[in-house]
Formats: sequence, structure tokens, C-alpha cells
Amino acid sequence: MPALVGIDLGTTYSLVATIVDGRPTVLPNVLGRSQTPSAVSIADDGSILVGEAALARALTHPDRTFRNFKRDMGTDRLFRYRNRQFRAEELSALVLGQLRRDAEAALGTVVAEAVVTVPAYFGELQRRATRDACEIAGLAVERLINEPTAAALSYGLQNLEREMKVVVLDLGGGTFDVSVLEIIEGVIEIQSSAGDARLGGEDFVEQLAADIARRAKSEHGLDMLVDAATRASLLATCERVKRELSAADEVTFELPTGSGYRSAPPELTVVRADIDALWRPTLQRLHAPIRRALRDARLGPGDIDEVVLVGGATRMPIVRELAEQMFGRPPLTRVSADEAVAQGAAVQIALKSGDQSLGDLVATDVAPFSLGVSVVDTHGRRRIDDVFSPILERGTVLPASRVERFVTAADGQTNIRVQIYQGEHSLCRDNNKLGECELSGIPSAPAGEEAIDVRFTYDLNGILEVDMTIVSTRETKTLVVERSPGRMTEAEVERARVRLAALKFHPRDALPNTTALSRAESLFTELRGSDRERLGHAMRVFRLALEEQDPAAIEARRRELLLLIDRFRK
Amino acid sequence: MRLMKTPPPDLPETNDPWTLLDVPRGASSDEIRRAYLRRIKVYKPDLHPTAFRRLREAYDALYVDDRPPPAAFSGWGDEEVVLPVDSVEDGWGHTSTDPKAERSPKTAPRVRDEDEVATLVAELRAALVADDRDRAVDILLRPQTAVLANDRRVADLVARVACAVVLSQPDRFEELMSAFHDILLDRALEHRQGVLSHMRGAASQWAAWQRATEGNEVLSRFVELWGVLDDAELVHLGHEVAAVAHADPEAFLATLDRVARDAPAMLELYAHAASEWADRFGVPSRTDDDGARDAMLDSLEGLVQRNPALSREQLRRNLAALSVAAFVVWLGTSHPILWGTTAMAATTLLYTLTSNPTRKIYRQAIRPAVAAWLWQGHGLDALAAGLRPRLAAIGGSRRWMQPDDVDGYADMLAEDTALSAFAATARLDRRRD
Repeated sequence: MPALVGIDLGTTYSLVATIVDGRPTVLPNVLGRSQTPSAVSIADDGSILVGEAALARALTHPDRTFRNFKRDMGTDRLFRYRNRQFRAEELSALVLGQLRRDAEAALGTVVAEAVVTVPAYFGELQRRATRDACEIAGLAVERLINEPTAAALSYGLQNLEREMKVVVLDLGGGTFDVSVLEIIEGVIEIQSSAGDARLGGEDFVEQLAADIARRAKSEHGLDMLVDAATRASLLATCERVKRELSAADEVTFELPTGSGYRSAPPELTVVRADIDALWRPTLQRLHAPIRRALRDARLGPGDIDEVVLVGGATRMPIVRELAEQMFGRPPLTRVSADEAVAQGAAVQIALKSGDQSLGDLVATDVAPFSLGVSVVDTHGRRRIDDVFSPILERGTVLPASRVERFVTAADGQTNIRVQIYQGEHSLCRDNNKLGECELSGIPSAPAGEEAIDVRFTYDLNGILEVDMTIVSTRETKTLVVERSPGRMTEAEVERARVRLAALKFHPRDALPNTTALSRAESLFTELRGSDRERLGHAMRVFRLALEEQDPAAIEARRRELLLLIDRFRK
Repeated sequence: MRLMKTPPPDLPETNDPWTLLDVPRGASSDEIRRAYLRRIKVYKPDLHPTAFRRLREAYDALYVDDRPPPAAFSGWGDEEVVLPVDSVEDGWGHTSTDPKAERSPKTAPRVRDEDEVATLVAELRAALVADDRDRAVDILLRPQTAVLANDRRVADLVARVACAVVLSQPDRFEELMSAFHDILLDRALEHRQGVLSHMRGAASQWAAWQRATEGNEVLSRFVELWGVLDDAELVHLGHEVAAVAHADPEAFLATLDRVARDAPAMLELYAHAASEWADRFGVPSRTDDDGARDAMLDSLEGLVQRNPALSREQLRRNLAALSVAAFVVWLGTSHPILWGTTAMAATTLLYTLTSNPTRKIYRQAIRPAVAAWLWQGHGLDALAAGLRPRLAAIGGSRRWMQPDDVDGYADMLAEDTALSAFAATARLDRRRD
């Protein structure tokens, strides 16, 4: 029986999970890890590498390694290397394909269907792009669910017996999401969500990198932004420094000068207090979504019983301090910050299949954005066109159906073009257009005397049905906005699927070896002196073993190499 | 295959929300909520979407969130309806009674955040009164403030602090913007008639404005603090500006002229603030005083018609023009027939010698007269509108004796931004009783 999986397709890391023995369980990848970096790299032989191996190559081959593409989902940006180019959807599809193969290996069955998580603040275009990515990867999408909802599901599942109001803050690598939920009578009710689609841990790293580059220039005369490779190793160093700052008040490190630098690279010391000040403006961008989610849920900070932090970037002490100051209580840290979203996606599978092992769990979610139509508004004699009139407001519990009545704007008007938009801005041109429909046959009458009812029905799968009825004649027309106009047409998705299927993938069995080598090469550029020679020796020995194709020797040499890497990396 | 429960029975074929949720009429909000939650555990949204939707609509129709709004929202009480009544009607056929009317509310006070909001408001006001803007910004940027800003009183102060720094401390404004962009965008249109967006638009001219208004600090303060101060302080500040202008109208108008040239957007901001002041605290401008307006129009018309006198003033300063005039006089006494033709040539020559005479006459005669009149409490718009037809009606040789564009005076009046800012200033010293 083909299995269903839950996938957390993250900006920096992705995970796949399913229900095993009635419990949501994250499945290990080929390296035995739960997290697979969302990175794609083109290997020297032209084959495609995904995950840890690709991430390690970001340092040694930044020009042909792609990361953070989730931020460009639904845009026309192309990621290029020589004569190859990929859309963000296609790169995501490559990651999804890898997760699928890992899940199939772990479960021993075919995986054809998935519940995939998206940031609550993903608009229709980005959701469409995520669906496209899944189709390209050959996965049917059972449901897209919001990441904070997923995190709330995995948290709520463990705490159903208490009645309380919870705020879930999800700060991942590239996105920030907030949800307010209430657990009552064994029901998990999402009350509101809000977020910022372009705010995450990566922003903090980049700010740190900019600051360190500035200091390297002024204190040591080193240009860290001179080329892609140096910049990539600066970012890698900053990522490490950021993590170390979570535990220490002060971190001293060597500037990544690249292998060309003869003498010992200069050292820099960063003090947490300084860096916290540097990060403060970015941190303040967390305020607005949190405030909006609380406002939508009609709750004040004092009403919240529990604050749950998920997402890797919430490990940063300043984020924890912020949450504590905002809500006046220490945030909960028992939940596994990295795995909560993937586990929640797995819980969703169980909900849909009516799995009895989860008992009577019920979860309701809300529309993350408003849906409405374009109307003409009049102020005295002035006519204002293009005004957005929401029909189904954000925060409405799904599935839902809402109706609004509109009247004709001109004398003798016999047809109306109903244009459907999604967003929160007062003018339609600032929102996203989802579709339009022409309704004709309205009896001719003075302006304002003929009316039509527009009913929006929005289901849990994000399919919007629009019914338009002329009130006087009861004539009805229906439009189903199922495939909202994404950037890719159906034919393009199919072509992408065929094209990616034809790509040469790096053999999955060889991935542990390739990953070890990629990581070693990446470390090699950073080391000097005897350490460098020792690592170089271990790499040569390992390559020799690979050439001789002796499985036992390969296994032994790889283990030695990984031990050495871990030692140098501390 | 896993065990599945037998499917639940269909919901009753009714649109009556009480029946659908299975609660007695008049049940409390809490009872309605719990009944709904128990029902949706049977009709789960994932497995029974249609039944769930009907239950939710029934719930939305009955449930009134009668918890008092949390303290941090105390300004929100007025928008307290869960669902518009017309959609209730639509969902349940045209019922004449609102089903919500039948429930009995149950209230439980919640005051946990009220103290914090009160402390915060006091702290912010103290910082503003002390004109310690940095401290005000710092208070707002504290994490614990961020969530309290949903309260209308705090949101109002966010807008005011933003106004206090937007011109002179753009960095601090950007910090506020990144933390409060939703509130600032919301409030930008509401707060003092959109003064914040106005100020943002003019901020690049702040330095030029300061140079142009040097020596007139009170004018500068008025603009900077217009979005910040409380009413009482604003009234006072408005009077101070008016006093300066009253003491030396010419110098004040000259300042406004400099501003009109170097920082037009700031001038507009000032005029906007001053007329807002007058609308809120002052007496209405007396544009409806027809007698006074007509008298002024008469005198303006007279000024225009008499302007050869003005030209004589210029003649005295212009030797070449003076000799031409002597020539005209001489011709006038000896050859009366040629008088008209020669005078024509002389005037032409005269106006060629003085550059842009219309502008000069406007500035030297019309503008001062109008400025003085404005100070009597009259509006500029009505005057410009009244002047236009009268000047257009000047005809014949009189018109011919005028500079090339007589109608231009009305347009100049209408477009004179410094003068209209002056008109707004004139209204600042008249307090409504």
C-alpha cells in the first residue's frame, strides 16, 4: 500500500515524517539524519547532488550550488550555471524527490502522496508554486497546510487535556510565522495566523556577515566580498559564529581568507552585546506579525497561557528573550524546534485518514488572507475604481462560505465583470488577482437598482468556488478557481517533470561517500599547516579506497575521515 | 485496513442554529461554544466538510464573543460584531429576529494588561512632554511594548512619536517603521489628517526648511510638533506663531517666500497644519463676508488700473525710462495728434526695459495689499476667484496700458503658496471662544 508522508519543505532544511505506530515520526535520510539541507549542487560530472553534500559544496563551488530558493517560489527568477537553468519550483522539486526516495527507503514502500507545509503567509502564487514543485517531483499533494498550524498540531497533540491559549512563533531559516490557537474540549482551534515571508535566520547571518566584512576591511584591510567563494565562506563562518553566540557571550574566530592566504589568517572577536545591538532592527520586524495575530484573535499578551518556539532560529538567545519580554513568561522549549512542523504534517495525514490512533483529535484552521472582489466606490461625485471589497475575510474558519450583495454601478448596465483578488490592501492593484468571470443578462435598470449576490466557498484544499446570482432573475453562474494562474502552466509543469526526470542524479548509494568528500573539501579550504596535511592525507586514502571499490575499506576510511572532520570542526 | 467508526448520522434538515448545535434557546455564549466544539468532534472538518460548515455557520450566527475586549484593545469596543447581520439573514432565510438576540450573555472581566498599558502611556507622554524623543523611541522599541501597541491609546502614541522623529531623525524613524509598519500605515491616514505621510513626503526638504526659517524657530517647532503635541500645547504654539507673524508680517512673508522657493513641500505641510489648527481651534475664515470682499476686490481692481503710477515709481529709478517719459511729455505738449501713437511706443519701451512688469506690480502692490487684508481674517480662494472676472472685464485702452497679462494677477494669487501659507498663519491668532 503506497504510503502518505508529511513534508516540511524549509528554506534551509527539509524533513519528511509519517505516522509510525500511532506517533508522528521523522524519517532519517540516507546519511541517517532527520534534516536534509534544502540545497542543490551540480557535481563535477554533471550529476545532481541534493542535501548535505550539496550544502558542503556551497563553500567550494558557490557558483553551481543553489540554496534559499524557497524565497523565490512563484517568481520568475532563474538559477543558472553555465547552460543550465532552474526555476525555484524545479530546485524544490529536486529536494522533494530526494526526500521521497529517503522515505521510500526508510518505509520500504512506494510514496506517491504527501501533505506539504507552507508558511501561513504564503500567498496563492507561492502555494501554487509549491504544488507545482510537488507535481514535478511526482508527488500528489494531499493537502498544503500552514507551518505554524502544523507546529501547533504536534504541540497540541501532546497537550490535549489542558484548556489553554497558545502562541506559536516559528522562525525558520527564511520565513517567520505566528499562530494563535486555543485548545479546548480536545479541539485545536487556530484563531489567527500572520507572518513575514522574507524574515528568517538567514537575515541575521547576512547582517553579521556584512558587519564582519566591514570590520575585516577596516581592521585588517581584507576584502571579504571580493568574489563568490570568499563571500560563501564568510557566510558559512558567520553561520557558525551565530550558533556559537547562542551559548557564549564572546566568540573569537579566524577570518576565512581562503587557501591562497599565506600567513596565519587574522582573528576577530565578536561580543554578543554588540551583535545583539546589530540584530535589533531585524528582531523588531518580528513585532508586527505577532501584534497582528494577537489582534485578529482578540487577545492581549496577558491572555496567553503558553508561548511555543519552533524553527531553528528560535534557538538564538535574543529571540527567546524577545518572546519572554513580550509575553512576560519564559517560552516553552520542550518541543523539538526542528521537527515540530514535519511531525505536524504527519499528524495531518492521520486526521485526514481518520486514523483512530490519534483519538478524537479535531483541528480547525483559518483563512490566512482575505478573498474578495473589485468594486467601484463613490464618494459624493467622485468615483473610486479598483476598490477591494473582501467577501471572505482572513481569520474565517475553514471550510467556509460567505455571500455579499453588490449593485450595478452604471445606468442600464447589463453585464458585470467579477474580478477575484486575494490580499489585505484596500486597492485591488496591490493585491493578487486570482481570476475573473463575466456575468451578463442583467435586466437594464438605473444604477444601483439591480443587484447580484456573490458567494465565495473556500475549502480546506484552498479551492475557491465563486457563485454569482442575479437577484431579480435568479440566474446563476459558477466559477471554480482551482488552478489559480500561477507562473507555470500545466504544460510547463509537465515539461519540467520530464526534464528533471531525465537529469542524471548522483547515485543514492554513493551519497554518504560524496557527502564526506564534499565536507572534507570544504573544510580543507579553511585549514592550514599540519591539520591541512592530515586532512589531505585522509582524503587521498579515502579516494584510493573508492577507486578500488572495496566496500569494507570504503566504510572504514570514510569513518576515519568523518572523525577527523568532526575533530577539526570541534 | 484500519478500523473506522461508523459514519455519524446526517445533520437535521433545518437551518435553525439552535437545533443544529443542539443547545436550548437562550444558552450562554460559553454553552454555545462548548456545544459547537462537541459537535465538530463528530463532524470533523476534514471528513465531513459540508456538515462542519453548517455547524460553523450556526455557531457564527449564535455566538457573540461577549468576553470584554482584552485590556490592550480597550479602544476597540465599537467594532464588536462577529458577523454582519445581513449574512445571518442570508444563511437562515430572511428571519426577522436575530438569533443572537436570544442568547444570554455571560461576562467575565479581564484586566491583566490594563495596568501595563496605563504605565506605558504615562511613560511615553512624560518622554514627549520632556521632548526626549530618543527615550520615547527606546520605550516603544522594547519588546514588551510591541504587543501592547494593539491598544488604541498606545497606537496613537506610536504615531505621535513617529511624527516627532520623522523629520529630524530619519534613522530612528526607520527603526520605528520596521517595528510598527502595520500600525503606522494604518494610523498614517487617521492621525491628524494624514500628517505622518505628509511629513514623510517632505522629510527630504527638512534641511532646506531649517535654513529658510532660520531666526524663526517657533515656525519650525510648529511644523515639527504638529503631529506630536496635545491640543492644549498646540493651541499655545499656534498663538506663538501668529504673534511672530503679527509683529512683523513683512519679514514673516519673506520667510515664507524663501521656504516656497527652497522647500515647497515643507511649506505645504506648514499650510496644511496651520489650516488644520484653524479648523480645530480657530474661528472660521470670513470668506462669506461679501461686503469686505467686494471692497477688497474694488481696491485691487483700482490698483491694477492705476498701475501706470507704479510704473512712474519705476521710472524714477530708471534713467533710460525717465528720458523716454520726458520725450513723451514733450511730444504730448507739442504734437497732440501724435500723442496716442507715441505713448504706445513709450510704454512698450518702458516695459521692455523693466523685466517682467506683471510680476513686479504683483509683488509691489497687489500682494502687500492682499496680505494686509488676509490678516483681517479673510480667505484667499474667494478673492482670487472674484478677481478673475473683474480683471478680464478691463478693456479698451486701459487694458492696453496694462502689462501683457492682466488676468495673470488672479492666477498669481491662486498659485501664491507663500501667501496662502500666510493666510493660514493669519488665522492662527483667532481662538474660537
